[in-house]
Amino acid sequence: MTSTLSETGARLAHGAPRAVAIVLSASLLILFVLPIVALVTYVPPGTSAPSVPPPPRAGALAPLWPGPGAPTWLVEIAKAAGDPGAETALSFTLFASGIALAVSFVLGVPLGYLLARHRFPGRSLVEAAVALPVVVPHLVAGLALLLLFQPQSPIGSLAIQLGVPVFGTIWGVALVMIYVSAPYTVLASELSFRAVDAGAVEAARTLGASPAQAFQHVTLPLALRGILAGGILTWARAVSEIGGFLILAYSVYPSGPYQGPVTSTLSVYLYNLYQIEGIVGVASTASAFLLLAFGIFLAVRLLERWGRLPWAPRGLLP
Amino acid sequence: MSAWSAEGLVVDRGGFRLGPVNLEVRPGESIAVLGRSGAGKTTLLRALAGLEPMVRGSLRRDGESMGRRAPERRGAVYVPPGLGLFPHRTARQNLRYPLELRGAGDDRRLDEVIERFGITPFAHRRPSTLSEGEKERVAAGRALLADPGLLLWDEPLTSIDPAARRDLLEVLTEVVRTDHVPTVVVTHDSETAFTLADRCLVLDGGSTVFAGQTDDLVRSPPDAFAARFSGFENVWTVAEAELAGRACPPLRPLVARAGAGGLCFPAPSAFPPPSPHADLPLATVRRLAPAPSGYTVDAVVGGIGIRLRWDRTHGPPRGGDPVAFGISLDEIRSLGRTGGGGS
Repeated sequence: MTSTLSETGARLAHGAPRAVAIVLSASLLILFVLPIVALVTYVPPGTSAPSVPPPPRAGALAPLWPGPGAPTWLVEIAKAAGDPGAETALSFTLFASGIALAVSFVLGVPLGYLLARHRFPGRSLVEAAVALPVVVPHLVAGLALLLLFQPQSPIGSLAIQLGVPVFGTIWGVALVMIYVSAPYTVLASELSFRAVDAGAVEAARTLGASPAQAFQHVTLPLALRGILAGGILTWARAVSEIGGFLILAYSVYPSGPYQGPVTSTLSVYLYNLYQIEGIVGVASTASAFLLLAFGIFLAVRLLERWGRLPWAPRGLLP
Repeated sequence: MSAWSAEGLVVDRGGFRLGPVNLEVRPGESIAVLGRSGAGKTTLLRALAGLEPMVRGSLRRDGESMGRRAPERRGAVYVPPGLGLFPHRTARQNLRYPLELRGAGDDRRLDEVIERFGITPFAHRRPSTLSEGEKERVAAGRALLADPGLLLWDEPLTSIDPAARRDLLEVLTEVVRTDHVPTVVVTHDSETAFTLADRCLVLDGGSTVFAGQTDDLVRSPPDAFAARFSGFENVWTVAEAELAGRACPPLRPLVARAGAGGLCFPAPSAFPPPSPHADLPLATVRRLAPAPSGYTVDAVVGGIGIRLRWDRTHGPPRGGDPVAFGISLDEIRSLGRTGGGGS
């Protein structure tokens, strides 16, 4: 009798909370995934399955192009992806986000290193400043950048003189992207540098390594994986931005390194499409974007797991 | 190999001040730095390595000043607590690192060290997959391959089982004696300190409490910490000694020997109280633990704890039993210095 009671007690103590946790976790995951499934499998009313799919096009989204016998929703996505406007917006967004990511790395990784390894006056202020773009609503960030860079302001006129005007240009897009996404690079690098065993670095020094050698041989290889993971987050945040673009660069005109047709970032393009055509017009394009982003994310994650990132020689990652 | 000497070395470290410390170590010689946590042992090692700036004093290697040199230009290899192995390199690549820094392409010495330190079976494995003992071997080998002018090892052989510890102690002793590397170790383990070190430096609160031959430290420990470290089972403060003396008159001559820091003595032999027992001190048994030659008995005399040895021939005593013990004045050491009381 007593043993049965205590067994029940044990089951309650260990079994019940776990079951509750599983149910709650599953609910959240379903909330994450179901809308995506609804979007991707959406078929606009009145669409019938084509007997013969359109011929494949060469383009940025060509890998998504379905072969014969593909389901209607996938054919719809492929068709939307083949739309020249969407393709331009996509390649422009990838280009601009590449610039933003490069700048975030060049400026953000050293800041992360300083925060991780050095004590200096005003450290907390610097940390608060780094977190600022994360907590400021992005529309507000756009407005703030607008005020700072308007042509009448000293900084705005200086930017124009230097040949990097920000309104309606790739520079503006990159600026917004850096503003909202670079904090992730800084925070990820700070955590990664902090996780490096200081003892290993000091041991390297006393074994004969100069500060630069110790950084190159020990600190950087050990922090690299975390910094790159931060890079993925930075990139993801940059391409999913919209608020700042709506204010600073709704339409993008050729300027600087971008000399293509007038376009916009993919997020603004989708927003436009939704304004004009409603969900019927935007669903397939949004799905194409989603599948591509998810594909890139998954590929990077898998490569990272196998330790075979193209930019990290085998054996470099711990 | 070179001789190192520090004179009046002072380190200021955000409210903690170490020194002035004097220290001298010659090739083939080693020094153990002892003391409680926070005594400044690690700070001293780091200052010698150049990882912590010294505010005063001099550090010389064969007469040449080293005090302002960067760590990589001192030739003093520091092994931090946790060993500081590179997790992204295999054991062999860890060992190879100091050779790579000097641009030495020849792997013959590397192979020699791998062989000599018994690293061959795990040379291709990363540190995370190695046991503590294996890691220590790699750290020792890596330090040796850097041709150290001075080896600074912060707590070697800490998380290793006693059997493996003896093997490794032999490896370390060989580095000191055969390779003639002057060595300074920080340790909490008396076996490591007394086997390896010719001389000891005891620190307390940043100041030197004792500097001299290991043998002298054990023969007359300066304070309670040094007494416990040296293996004295009984360490009494002056107040404790007085209480014990008041409760047990036969102990009074012993109590008269207490210095400013109290006194210490090894565990006396205990036996069943003979009758009459007028001149023998008596204690009451609290608990006992089996030992190779009998029992280690924790007892009280006048409310003060005392550790005794009990021979197996008598059969084990029981809690609350009175036991007699013999103690000779020669065994009593006076502690000249207060402080260092932490157990």
